[in-house]
Amino acid sequence: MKKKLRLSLIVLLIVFSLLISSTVLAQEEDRFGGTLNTAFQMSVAHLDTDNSTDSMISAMMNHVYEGLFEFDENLNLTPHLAASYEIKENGLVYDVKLREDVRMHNGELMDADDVVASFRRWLEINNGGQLVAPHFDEIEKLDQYNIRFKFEEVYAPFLNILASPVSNQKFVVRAEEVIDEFGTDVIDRHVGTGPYKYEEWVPDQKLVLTRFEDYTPSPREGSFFAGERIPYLNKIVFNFIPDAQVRVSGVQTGQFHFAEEVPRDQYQIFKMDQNIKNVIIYPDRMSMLIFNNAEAPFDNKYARQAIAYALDFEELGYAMIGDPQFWRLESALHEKGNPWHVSDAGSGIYGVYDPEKAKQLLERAGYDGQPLVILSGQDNQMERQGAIAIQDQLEKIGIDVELQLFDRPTVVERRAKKEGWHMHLSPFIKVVPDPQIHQGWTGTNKWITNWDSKDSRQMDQIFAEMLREVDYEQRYKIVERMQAELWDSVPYFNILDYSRLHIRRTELKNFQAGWQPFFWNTYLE
Amino acid sequence: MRNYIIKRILLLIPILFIVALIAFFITNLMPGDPVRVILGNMAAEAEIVRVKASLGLDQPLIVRFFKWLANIVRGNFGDSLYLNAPVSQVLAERIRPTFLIAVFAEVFGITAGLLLGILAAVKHRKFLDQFSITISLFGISIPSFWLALILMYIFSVRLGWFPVSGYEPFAEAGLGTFKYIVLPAVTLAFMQAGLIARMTRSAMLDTLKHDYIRTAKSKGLSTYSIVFKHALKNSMLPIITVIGHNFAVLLGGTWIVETIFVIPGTGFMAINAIMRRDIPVIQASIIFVALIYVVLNLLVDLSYAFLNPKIRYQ
Amino acid sequence: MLFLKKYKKYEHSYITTSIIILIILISLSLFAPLLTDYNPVRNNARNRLQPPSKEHLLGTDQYGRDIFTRILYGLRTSIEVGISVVILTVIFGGVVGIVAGYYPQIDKIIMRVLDAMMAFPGIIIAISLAAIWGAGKLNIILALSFAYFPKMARIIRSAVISIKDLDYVDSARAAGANDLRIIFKYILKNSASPIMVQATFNFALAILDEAALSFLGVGIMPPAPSLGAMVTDARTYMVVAPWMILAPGMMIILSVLSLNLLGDGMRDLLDPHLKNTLKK
Repeated sequence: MKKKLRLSLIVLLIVFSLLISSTVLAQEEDRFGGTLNTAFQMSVAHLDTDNSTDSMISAMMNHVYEGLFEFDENLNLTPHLAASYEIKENGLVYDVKLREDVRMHNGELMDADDVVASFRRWLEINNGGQLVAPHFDEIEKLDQYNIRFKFEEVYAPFLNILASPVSNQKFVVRAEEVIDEFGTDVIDRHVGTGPYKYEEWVPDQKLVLTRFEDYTPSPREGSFFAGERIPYLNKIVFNFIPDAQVRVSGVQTGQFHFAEEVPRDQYQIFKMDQNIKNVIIYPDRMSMLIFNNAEAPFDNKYARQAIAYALDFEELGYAMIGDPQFWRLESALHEKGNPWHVSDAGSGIYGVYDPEKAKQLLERAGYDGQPLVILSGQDNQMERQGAIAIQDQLEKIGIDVELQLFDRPTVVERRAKKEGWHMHLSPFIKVVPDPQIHQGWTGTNKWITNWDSKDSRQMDQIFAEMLREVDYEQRYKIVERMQAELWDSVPYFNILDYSRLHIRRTELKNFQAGWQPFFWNTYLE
Repeated sequence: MRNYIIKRILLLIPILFIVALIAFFITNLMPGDPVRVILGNMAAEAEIVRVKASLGLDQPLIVRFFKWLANIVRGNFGDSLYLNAPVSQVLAERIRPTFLIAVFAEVFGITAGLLLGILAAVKHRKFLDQFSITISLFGISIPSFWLALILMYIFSVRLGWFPVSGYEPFAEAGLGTFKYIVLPAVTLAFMQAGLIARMTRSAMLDTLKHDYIRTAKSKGLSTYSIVFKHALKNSMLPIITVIGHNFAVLLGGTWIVETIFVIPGTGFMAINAIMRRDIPVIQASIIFVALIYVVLNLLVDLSYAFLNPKIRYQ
Repeated sequence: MLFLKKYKKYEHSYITTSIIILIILISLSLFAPLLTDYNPVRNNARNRLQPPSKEHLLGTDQYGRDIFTRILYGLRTSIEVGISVVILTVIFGGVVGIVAGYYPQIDKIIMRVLDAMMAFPGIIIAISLAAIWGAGKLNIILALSFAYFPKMARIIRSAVISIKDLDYVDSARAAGANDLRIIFKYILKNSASPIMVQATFNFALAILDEAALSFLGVGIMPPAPSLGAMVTDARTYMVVAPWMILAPGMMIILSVLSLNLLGDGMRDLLDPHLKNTLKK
């Protein structure tokens, strides 16, 4: 009798659990399908992340390619195509074990050969790779699923750079056959491991990705770029729509499910629309005023300091970004809450509006009243409106300013020159897990333009120390010193942090606001 | 007649040569380095040199001109620096939406223009004349970019009758293509209607003064048949000229309107190419418009000569 | 002047109306500093996107600048560009047209070059040139003049040809007048009508095209006020601040319309035969 009862209980349990799991499964099934239409603001030149610094390329190609390591929601580095890793010999050797079952879009399994080929190309032409290359020794294939990275000297930020969210520094794994075919040329055949595969690219119009049916998700729990990615959507279409109002109206009429960077001033209108959800990206951009440190008067640090005193940052916030809920004043390179945040950075100079002091400093720097040239892009709201507002403020206190607003090619070309411009506004990416992949850290002659003086060599010294240091406490101290030095010699400075506003339709579920938009794990209702 | 046609066609050669010369030098004097745009903001110098050489941009200008000329005579405009395809192929793909918009604008423009012009001429110095003059004046005075935005705001954003932007080819959307075409075409049609109405009015007024119209009137023919059978027929020459001359202006207008409505036509392509220094595409776009202008004017002149033999011997 | 002799205020209502509007527009732009307390380029961003009110008749833009003020100064820019383009096209077109008309030896070559240049729609030449030379008032003026002068040259050339073999010119030449004297004394004087009509239309066209170039971002350099660039700015804020787009658009239409009206009126007045020649 007892036995019978137990048996029937077990049967009951089995039936019950089957029922539950089938309904759960059915719900899961429901999520699959549909075509997602998105509207992005800028078209791209090609789709090869290694050959460009355009972050839009990686935002889209993150669906096609995956990294050995990826960042999760809390900016923790997580092995992704890597199964595990080990750092040996005091940081000179990194042994990485690959996941063994990852299928690529060409049907083959990903193995060490793919990683080695991709890595060599990355090291040669990718900007992230070029940061690493001077310190790197060689990459070695240990066996089919094990590789070894060897360094000549300790290079602390290595793994963070491999997964970097900054302008295409990330290392992604491509099929070896593609690398063989294209070498360092721009790749236009895409074989990766991602949840979506390349289907069609119509330049200036759209990129179409379709679900990769044999996708092998990471066994870890999904969180932002790391862990499990589920391709619910059949198709993702990235439309390139340069006009903001067109992107907005497209979402309002249901033509698009998602629109990138829409006018922040329409926030209230979106809020009232029941079909639309606002997606505010946590302030992840900073507006940087970059000086041409080689050209008088800004070859003198007092002149550079003067500009910081001459500007009313709050007024700039209104002109540059608009609604104050989308920007905040912040002097540190890393936001509050980030382990690298320095709370007293720039105290005494940041946000101190003192035109008189500015004039004195300019005089001290021997400024002769020549017009100062602000060089900026027309296509970015922050750059354009910021430049106009800065010109206005400087002219109000009697400094002659010439504004040069150009299209992107002209700006890029002129800024590469040593003369002909004095100031330039540029959006930097704020949210970074490691100070050394911050754009401000990438060298005194990369973003810190044409800076060559006693101060710059001091800064080089700080950078060099940072490369070798692995201990958090020690590194934090270096970060503090760096920012103190930064606010003393002011080769560039942060005016404010600002957020971007995306919008999405309510049908688009499970969307998470990352630093770059991604659509795995999202589905349409 | 045949000699005249041959002579006119031979005359095209020097014109097209000069067109090519202007197009080439205009585009190659542009500041802004396309290679830097391709590679992005932080590209290294060595990288730039490598890509430049691979695109053949490191040769002297004059060498490039003759190489280029030899190629375009064969219909080869080179490869787009940006779109990963031969320019001639890209142009061929992009012509369709532009052509659709231009033809629709022209059809709207001619219909409205003729109607307004005839009304004005028939009701000369009456209210309808004033009305039509005012409308056509507005037609040629409204900036097309402004009109495009206002139409977009009213009919797409507010009323939702048309999509805000974009384009689907006929093969995919069928008749749905036309909902993308209406607003851009109407925008451009305004200017065309204005121009055509003005010309129709003055040509009709001239014709209506002639003796044979008076004779027809005294014979008791209806106004309708006088206007459409006699007057309009005889006013057609200047009206055709205005249409021919302004078709290229219309194509120029598509540069702006396609940009606003994000329609992947030749105009959108040209403006994008200018903004990022895609030189082969700019050259091809300029030559494309010039070529259409030249050929249309040839056709207009030939139709003149055909209709009025006196011109041939001048 | 020929023009004033024929003009009668009541018979030529087009001219009267358009001249009144133009006088109002020109004085608005000339006396702009007296008509407004604001500066067209000074920001007051804390006061951005204000709807029309007593302080700001037409509201403010995204930098908190007074739109009414910017329209007055933008109109000033339009008129400056228009007048400069008209002067330059008459000079370029005059020189080329007179040379071509007066010296048949090089007429053919000049005509082929002009034909080739006219094969480009003006706006396309202007966009390309503005992109080469960079944005800025001077560059816009040069680009537009370059785009318009072939048409002017042709008009002047045909005027020269139609006049130069007339009896009184021949007799002047026989009396020993040199070419330069003949050109100025007889030919220019007698071709004034078509030049004036075309110049008026060019003025209107220059205002339209300057606005279009500035709208595309290759025209007047911000923050200098330009009606076209104001429309570009307004585009982003069309939904939240519709006043930003209406005012500059209306101003462009008003000025272009009155110039076209004036051109029509002058054409009817000065030379009824010209009616059938084309505007573009």
